[in-house]
Amino acid sequence: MLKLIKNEWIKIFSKASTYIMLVLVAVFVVGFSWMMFRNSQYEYSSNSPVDAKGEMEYLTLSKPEGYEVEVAMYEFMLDSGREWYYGQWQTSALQEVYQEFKAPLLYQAEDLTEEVKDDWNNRLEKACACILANDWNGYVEERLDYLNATVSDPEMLEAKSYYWNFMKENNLTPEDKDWREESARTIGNLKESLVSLEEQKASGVIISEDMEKEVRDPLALEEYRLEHGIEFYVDENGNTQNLFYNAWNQGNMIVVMASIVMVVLAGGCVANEFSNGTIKFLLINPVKRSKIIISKYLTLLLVSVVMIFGIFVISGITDLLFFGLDGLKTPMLSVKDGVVSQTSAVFYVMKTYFYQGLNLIVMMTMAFMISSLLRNSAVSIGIGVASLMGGSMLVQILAMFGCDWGRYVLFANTDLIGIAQGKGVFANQNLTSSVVILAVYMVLFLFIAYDGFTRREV
Amino acid sequence: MEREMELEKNIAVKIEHVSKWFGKRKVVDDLSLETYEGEVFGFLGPNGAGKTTTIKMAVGLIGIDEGHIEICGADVEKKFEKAMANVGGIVENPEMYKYMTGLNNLKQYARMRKGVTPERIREVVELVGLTNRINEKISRYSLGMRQRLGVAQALLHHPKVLILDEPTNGLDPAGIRSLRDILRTIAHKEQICVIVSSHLMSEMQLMCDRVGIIVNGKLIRVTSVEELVQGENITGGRYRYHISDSEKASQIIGGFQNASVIETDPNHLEILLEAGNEQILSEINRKLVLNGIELYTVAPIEGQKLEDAFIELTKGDGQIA
Repeated sequence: MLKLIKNEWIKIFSKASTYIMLVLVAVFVVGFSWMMFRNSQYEYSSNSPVDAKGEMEYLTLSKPEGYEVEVAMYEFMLDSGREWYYGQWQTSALQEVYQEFKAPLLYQAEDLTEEVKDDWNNRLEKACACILANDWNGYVEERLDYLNATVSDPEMLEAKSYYWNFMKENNLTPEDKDWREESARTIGNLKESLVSLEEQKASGVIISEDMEKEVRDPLALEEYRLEHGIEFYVDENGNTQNLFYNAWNQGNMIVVMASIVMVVLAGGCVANEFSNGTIKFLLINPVKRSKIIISKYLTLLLVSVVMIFGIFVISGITDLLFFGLDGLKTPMLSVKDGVVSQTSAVFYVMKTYFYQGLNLIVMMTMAFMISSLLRNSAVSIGIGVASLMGGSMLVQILAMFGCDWGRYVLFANTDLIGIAQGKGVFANQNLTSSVVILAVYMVLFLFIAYDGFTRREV
Repeated sequence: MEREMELEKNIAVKIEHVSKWFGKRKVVDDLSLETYEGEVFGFLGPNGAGKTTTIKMAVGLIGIDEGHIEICGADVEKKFEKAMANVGGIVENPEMYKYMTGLNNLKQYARMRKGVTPERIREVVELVGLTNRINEKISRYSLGMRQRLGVAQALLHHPKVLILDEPTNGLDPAGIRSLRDILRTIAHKEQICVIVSSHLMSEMQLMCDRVGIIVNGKLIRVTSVEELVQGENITGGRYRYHISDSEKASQIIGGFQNASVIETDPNHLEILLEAGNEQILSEINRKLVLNGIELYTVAPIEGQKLEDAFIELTKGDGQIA
């Protein structure tokens, strides 16, 4: 049997066309990494200057709701005699305090007592002074002072002042561009949502578990990140800010390319023996036909596995070369019931390549079956490639017309990565059912291929 | 005496009451046959008679609808691997993997059979005369070279039975002669049963020890080549005369009871003698000379014998059954 597999292997790798296809796949792997790298080098300029005069003219002409506050702010900017830039903390802080203090003073003046009006005017002035002086610490103190004075609920106070306290304790300013700032801001917001959820619950509003989960899980994740100092991580859906992992994970798309190569090899595997007339020499040997067809399939399987693994490794290496070795340290974080678990992201990437690889093997098996049944490589390759390209479209059309039986169609179950994330085309598709359906198809394909080859007359 | 000799021979291929249908058409009809080790056996028949179908059944390429075939005692369908271990062959065209060299093609087959050493591969390559070209890709081979490589492939594993379907197809005269020599040598020296099929009668006459004539799927006769050519109920001999006056000569020959003139032109004529009447040839010649006719040459038309016999036997009307 090993000798038969060796024979088939030699047949595949004696052809120039095989090498051309393999080189193409390799070029795609490297090219994809390069494109990802080039894309990451592109700088999004965020520090464009604020055109206060232009904005004011526009606002006074169009008069949208609440434009007066903004006009007042832009006036302040113009009066300050300095340049303001988007993305600077000063600009966003100014927007923040004007919305908070100026808006009520303008629109709800009659509802406010003189005492409050004075207090707020005072606070606005102080904050603006800090901003103009580029005094971040002073600004933080102002915010904390305001929150202490106005928020009575201690839990809410803690939630709202979390970000400011964090910045103060860690001696951070937004100019440091530290990742923890964003994380602390998210935690503050989530804590606030959580407190208000609890309040609603206490007042008798029914809050679903999912709604609570949507707040608690990301909160646990962000707290875990801060606690363990994890800047980059890969989340449960494979999304990541880490350029290396992003490129490596997205690289599983190349496996689809490799699927085409395998469909071509599988489609020709049996059919070419017939079209070249070599089948008679093959079958005249003292080897049962069943052994020949099995070794042909095993060889294709072997080539597939080598190819998938090769793409996984080569794209990993090229991505490391482009993005540096640091990326490897990135962990994968997943949250379940508020508990964060940390695993190596390599396993996650491996899993996505594995799922794509299963898809490849199913498609390869289908082409192999057609090849064995019809003995025509053009038809088998054509159907195989068409299925790869149009299979998902067919399923979408079925779903569009509400044909629920479409879930049992092969192509509805091939996108295992999407199904694992709960993004199946049909409702309630899950990984287990899809794998079972794929397995049934595989058994069917292999049986037809076996039967077609061993029983037909040559 | 001759019968005892035959009993001593080992049966190589035993075909028993084999029938085969293609749809409703019965292409092989109750065919029974035995061939022995050490002989070259020829399957003779017009196109579409069922030669290739029978050979395909014998090597397991197609199923056997009725009856069974044994090769060296092993049933082709029940003990395929054991039966095929003793068979080498070419069925229809010698198509090889074009993108590989001749040697790599042979290695492919060597891996599928037991006990083929690199020395053996070199040996068969030498035997078929491809040593100088064996490392070239098949796509550069001529049909004749591929036919030789096919024979090399068939001989790799020392088979006891060699089955060649139309082996002289595409060979030049020198190639045909060397193939004939190879086949006769290995059959007689190495005690291999060689089965060839052909519709080239003259070729069969030189190559085979025995022939089986197959028409419309039925085996109508199995005889030795000599028997077939000289058999009593066969038409007889044809002779070509080169003479000075063919008109006068044909009158003289017309007087003989067992001879008839078939073709004539002013200086040539062909006569047909009934089988077993060759002795009257000298009488005819003497009478021609005595009547003042210049007799330049008389030649037997050798190659025609089997062909005539074959056409007679198959009642060849030119229609494919």
